[in-house]
Amino acid sequence: MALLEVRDLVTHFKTDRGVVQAVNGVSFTLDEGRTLGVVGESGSGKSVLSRSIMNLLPKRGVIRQGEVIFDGRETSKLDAKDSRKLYGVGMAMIFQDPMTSLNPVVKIGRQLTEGLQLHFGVDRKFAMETAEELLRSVGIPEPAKRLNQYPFEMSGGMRQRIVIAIALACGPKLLFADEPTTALDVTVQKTILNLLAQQQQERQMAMVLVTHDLGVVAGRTDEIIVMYAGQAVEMAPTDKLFTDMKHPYTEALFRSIPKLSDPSHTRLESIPGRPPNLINPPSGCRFAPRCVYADAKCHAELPPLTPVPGEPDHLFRCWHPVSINTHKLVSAAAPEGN
Amino acid sequence: MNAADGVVAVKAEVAASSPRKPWGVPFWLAAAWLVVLTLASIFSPVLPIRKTDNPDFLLGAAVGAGDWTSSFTRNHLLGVDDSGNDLLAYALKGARVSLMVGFGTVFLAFLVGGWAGMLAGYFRGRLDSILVFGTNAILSIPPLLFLLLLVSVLSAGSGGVSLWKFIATLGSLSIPITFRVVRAATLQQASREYVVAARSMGAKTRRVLVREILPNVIKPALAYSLVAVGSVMVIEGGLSFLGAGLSGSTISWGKMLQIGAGLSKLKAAPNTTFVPAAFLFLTVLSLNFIGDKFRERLEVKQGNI
Repeated sequence: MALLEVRDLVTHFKTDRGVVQAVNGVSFTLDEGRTLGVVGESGSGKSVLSRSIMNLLPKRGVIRQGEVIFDGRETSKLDAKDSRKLYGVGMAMIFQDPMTSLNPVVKIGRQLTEGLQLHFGVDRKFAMETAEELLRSVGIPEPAKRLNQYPFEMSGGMRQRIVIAIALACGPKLLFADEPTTALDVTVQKTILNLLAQQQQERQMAMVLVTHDLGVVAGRTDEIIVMYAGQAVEMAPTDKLFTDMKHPYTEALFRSIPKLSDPSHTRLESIPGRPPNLINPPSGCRFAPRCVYADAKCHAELPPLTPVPGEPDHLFRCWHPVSINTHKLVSAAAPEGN
Repeated sequence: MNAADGVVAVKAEVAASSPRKPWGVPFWLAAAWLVVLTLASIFSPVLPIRKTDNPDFLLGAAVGAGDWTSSFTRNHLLGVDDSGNDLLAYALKGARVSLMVGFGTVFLAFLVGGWAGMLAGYFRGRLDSILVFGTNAILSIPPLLFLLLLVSVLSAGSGGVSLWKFIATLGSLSIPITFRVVRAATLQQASREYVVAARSMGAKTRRVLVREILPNVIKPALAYSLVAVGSVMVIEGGLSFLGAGLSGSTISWGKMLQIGAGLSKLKAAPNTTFVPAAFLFLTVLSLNFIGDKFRERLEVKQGNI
């Protein structure tokens, strides 16, 4: 049975300039212990998606529709007691910037034990011992000493480890990692991602890894959703996505990853244009204005999310899906050193 | 090793053990003045000084005749006024009232304005709009006029207001300002990610407000409140000087200033005015200085986030 099932999730923000359609009908399922990657550039709605699933967005000015079924139950229909258990114990979240996601004036120890005491009613001493153990498990040296320190006494990588420890404190079944390494040095990124993978394996925990970096999700996820302008444009198991991508946007993202094999001073490929305005999105395919393959039909009609023939787990939203051949063709046609 | 070496050694040790820079001598002087003043005003009845209800008429008469320097004796360290009242005893008794008015007013203002500011800043929406409009409306009335009106209404028929009514009046007028200070700080904190993080761990609104936002808001509020205490004390002095202050028998620094008022008196017995003025000056200066130091310390910490 699926641990998390999201059906047609819609999240719109009412602003003075109009309604921002941040997430527009996203559906997916995630099984226990599996990892889902959500990929897209800034403003594609990927962060809003995870916050909307956890219902962490403000009530005021937000339109939220669709169903979120966690552990077999619709989350919006839980009573107060069960919905409290949903947070920390059921799902937890790691945030992008460890500089702001820790309370600057509260000691690490209290930030770690807060959830334990709230959800399990354990006494302070036991909670502190658990906290020390948690810090050790996320690789923080001298955990007993750290419990008595404030966030500003630690480096960014260390703080992100603490954020992870806090999220893991109550043993969640599902962990949302919202760009967990974006604010960190490249050298620290890998250790943090490895730590997440190791914790996930030890705890049999499912994870949603949100990132703008296809390289991050490549070897670490079971499935990937590529998001563009609030919609899922391609969903597939990770290996299928990388070997047989169908959507031009996925392809463009893939080609914008710098490759070590390229000669030095090769110009990094970028996607021309900007993500569309989410108040008045393009009427046809939302990627059409930036797409090299787009024709009149693309600008007029929004393609539906359809499976690849014979592969029900590989869905894409495109009138002119790319194939390996066209991919090669385009690569060859691109002028040198441009 | 002499004493000075010892102090240097201790200082070096403190500087080495903590990454912060030391508070500095002026800060400790300011703090010492406030502590000494508070203790002296509390224990003034048992201190070896003249009682306020026992004027020295002989010296008073001498001061009245223009010989104010002769009033400085071993029993009257700061001299007497023309009624023979010991100015040190008066100043210490006045310190009680001035400190009570200063701290009481700010406490009241933060109790009401602070909570309202936190709720408004966190929830926003209609409640926020109404409160902001209300405070703006109150702040647009000239404060002195408003104060004089309130005091004269409250003191109608009894020749002055009681201490508690006075504190309540000043306090209610300070609420809009504290509301704005705390609301602004809360707005800034409420958008920080750690608030969402706390909610993602299952914290309810009350918990978020009390355990997450309050600790972040209370420090800037405290730094501001010390400066506010100083300005409230000055306002008390001004009101008493205008004769719109506390009721007849209560002694405060403002009331002492009023006693010494008038050009002829200022010439004949300048210490009558200068003693309360100096107490007020030193106290407000100390409060401002300490408040400023706290704020500086805080900014360093904010930079570290």
